[in-house]
Amino acid sequence: MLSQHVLGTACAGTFDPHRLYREVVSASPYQGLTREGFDKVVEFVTTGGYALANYERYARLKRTPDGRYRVAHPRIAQQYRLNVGTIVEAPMVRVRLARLKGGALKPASMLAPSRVLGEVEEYFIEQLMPGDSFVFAGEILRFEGWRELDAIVTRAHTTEPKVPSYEGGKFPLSTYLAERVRLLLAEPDSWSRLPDQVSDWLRFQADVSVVPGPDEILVETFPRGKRHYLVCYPFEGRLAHQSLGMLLTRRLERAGAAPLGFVANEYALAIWGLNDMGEMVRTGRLDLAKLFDEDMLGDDLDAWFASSSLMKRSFRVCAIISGLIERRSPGQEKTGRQMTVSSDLIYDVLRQHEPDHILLRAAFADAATGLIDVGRPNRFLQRIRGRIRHIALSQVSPLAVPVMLEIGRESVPGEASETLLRETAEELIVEALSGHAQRKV
Amino acid sequence: MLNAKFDLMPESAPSLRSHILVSNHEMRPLAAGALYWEAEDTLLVADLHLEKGAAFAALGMLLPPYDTRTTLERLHKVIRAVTPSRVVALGDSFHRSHLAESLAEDDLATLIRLQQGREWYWICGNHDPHLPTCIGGTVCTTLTICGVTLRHEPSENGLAREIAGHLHPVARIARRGSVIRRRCFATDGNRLIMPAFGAYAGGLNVLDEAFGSLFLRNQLEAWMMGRADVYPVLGSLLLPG
Repeated sequence: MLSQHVLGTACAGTFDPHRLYREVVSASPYQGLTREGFDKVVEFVTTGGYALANYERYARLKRTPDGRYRVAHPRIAQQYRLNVGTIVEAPMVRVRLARLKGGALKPASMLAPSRVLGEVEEYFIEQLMPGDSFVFAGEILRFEGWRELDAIVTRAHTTEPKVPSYEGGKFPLSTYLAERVRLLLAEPDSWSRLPDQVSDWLRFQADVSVVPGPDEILVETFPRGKRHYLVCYPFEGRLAHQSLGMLLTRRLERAGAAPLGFVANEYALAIWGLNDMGEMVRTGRLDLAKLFDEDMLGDDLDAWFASSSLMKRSFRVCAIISGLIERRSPGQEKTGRQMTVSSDLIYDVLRQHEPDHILLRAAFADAATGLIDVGRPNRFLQRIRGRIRHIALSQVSPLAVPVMLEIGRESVPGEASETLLRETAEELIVEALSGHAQRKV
Repeated sequence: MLNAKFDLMPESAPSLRSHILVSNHEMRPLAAGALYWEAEDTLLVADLHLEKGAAFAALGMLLPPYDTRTTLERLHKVIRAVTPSRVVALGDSFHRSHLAESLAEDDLATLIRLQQGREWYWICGNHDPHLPTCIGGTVCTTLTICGVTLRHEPSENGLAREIAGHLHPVARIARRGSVIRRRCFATDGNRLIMPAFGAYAGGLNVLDEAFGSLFLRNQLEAWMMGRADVYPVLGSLLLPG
C-alpha cells in the first residue's frame, strides 16, 4: 500500500512531496491517483488523517523548513522496519504438546505443557471443541484447551481425526471451468466419459435429488447438525456467489430465517440458519421468487455488508498494511488472536464516527474487487427468473458435499446469535428449575 | 435428533432472569455493560479506558481518536435510561492518568454534564492511579456500600463480597455449531467481576487462569452481553479460548 511506501521513504531520509507524487503516479497501479488523494495518504501517515485533528502532537512525520517531510522520531523508523511487508498471514496459534499424567483426562490447566509442535491457522483450532482430535505434525492429537495463546494438545489414538485445511490452500478455479462442469452435468450421456467415482456421484445425486438442467437453478434445503441449510447451484464463480450470499442472507434475515453464515465455491453457495427454510417455503412464509428477485433496491445491503465478517477481515488487512495496527512492536509481540479483537473494535468506532475515512474506503474497495462482485449476481438473477427448482431433502445431497466442505466460511450479523444466547440461557433456567443441576467442575 | 422446539424462533421464550444476586443484593445487569443497583440507585461501570486511542497514538500507532466519545456516548445512554443518583467507575477509567488532563474540550464537557445532579466516584485503577481534579467527581481507592466492597482489582480473599473490574471478562459458548464470544458479568454469588465498558478494551476468557481462585467454580455464572438483553449462562457450558 501507498502509505507504507510513504512512511518507508521518510524512514530512508527526508522526501519532497511533489517529487514523491510524480514517482508514485509513474507506477501503473497508481496512474490515476490524484494529487488530492496522495495528500490524503501523506496526511494519514502523518496524523492518521482523522477529521478530529487532535493527533498533531503525535505526528509521525515532521515538515522541515524547506517543505520536505522527515520522521518525527527514530522510534518511528524502528517500528516501520519491524512491520514492513504487505502480505498478511492468517493468524496462527502455536500447538503445544502436553503429557497426560496417569492417563486420566484432566482440564487443560492441569496438564503439564511441554514442547511446541508447530503452528496451525487459528480459525481451524477455533472450530474445535476440547476432546476433538486432529492430524498434525505426523501425529494424531487431541485438543484439550487453551493455555494463554497456545493450543494445548495430547497424543490420541482415534481413527477419525480431523484434517486441518489452510487458507493458503484455497485457490479459485476459473469461471470457464465452472461453465464446463455445468454443461457436463446437464448431459447425462456424457457422464460415462467421466471417472467412475464422478459418474457414480452424479447418479447418486439424480437418485436422491435432481441434477440441475442447463437453464434452471436448483435450490436444495435440508437439516444437518441442528442447523438448516439452503444450497443453490448458480455456477457463476466464487466472487458472484459470495455477493449472492450477502444478498440472500440479508433477505433471509428479513424473512425471519435467522441465517448464521454462508460459504461459496465455484459452482455453489451454501447458507445455514436456525430455522427450516424448506418448511418456510412449503408453508409460504418464504417466497423463493422474492428471495432471488433481481431488484436489489430497498435491501439495505450497505449496513449488512459493513457488519459482515468479510468486511471486517478486509479492514484488518488494510489496517495492518497501512501501519495503523502493528504486527510487531518492541517488547510485546502482538498475536493475531489479540489483534482480531482490537481491529474489529477499531472498525466499529471508526465506522460510527468517520465512515468516509480513507482506510474504510480502502477496505471497502478491496472487498469489492477481491471478495464480492455486485454486478454478476444481478445478471444471474435476471437469467434465472421463473426457473427456480426447489427440492426439500432430509439430508445433505451428494452435489452439496463439496461446498459443505469448503473453507472460508463467512458469518453474518443478525438476530441468530441472540437466539442462540437465549437458548443457552434457557438451559440454565430449565436446569435450575428442575433442581438438580449437574455441573462439571 | 432434531428437537422440534429448535425449528422456529422462540416467539414466546421464557423470560430471562433480570437480576444478579451479589451477596444477596439484587443488581440489574444492562446490555450496555453497566450494572444498576436499584436499591441504592447506583450505577456501576468498569474499565472505561478513556483516551486509549491517544495512548497508542503517543507510541506511534495512530488509532482512530473516537474511542473516548464512543464510550461517553454509551455511558450517556445508560445514565439517561436509569437516571441514577450515584455513579461509580471501578477503575481504569482512563488508559493513562495524565491523559485525563488533555481530554478534548467537548469530551470533557460531556463528562461534566453527565455528573450533574448525581454523586460521582472514580475508583483508582492500575492504569489511572492519580486522577486530576479537572474531571470532577470524588477519587477514592475503594468504596463500600451495604457491606459490598467496590474496588478495581479483585482481592485475594476467596469469599470476599465485592464488585471489581480489571480483568475484562468475556465468555465463549458453542451452540448448534456456532461459537459466540461476548463480554460478560462473571459471578459466583459472592463476588462479581464487571465487563470492560471502554470502546477499545479487549477481553480475557473467564475460564483463564487469572480468574482461577476468584470464584466458587460450581457456582460460576457468566451473564453474556447481547444486543438488548443480558443472558445468564451456566459456568459448565462455557468454553476456554
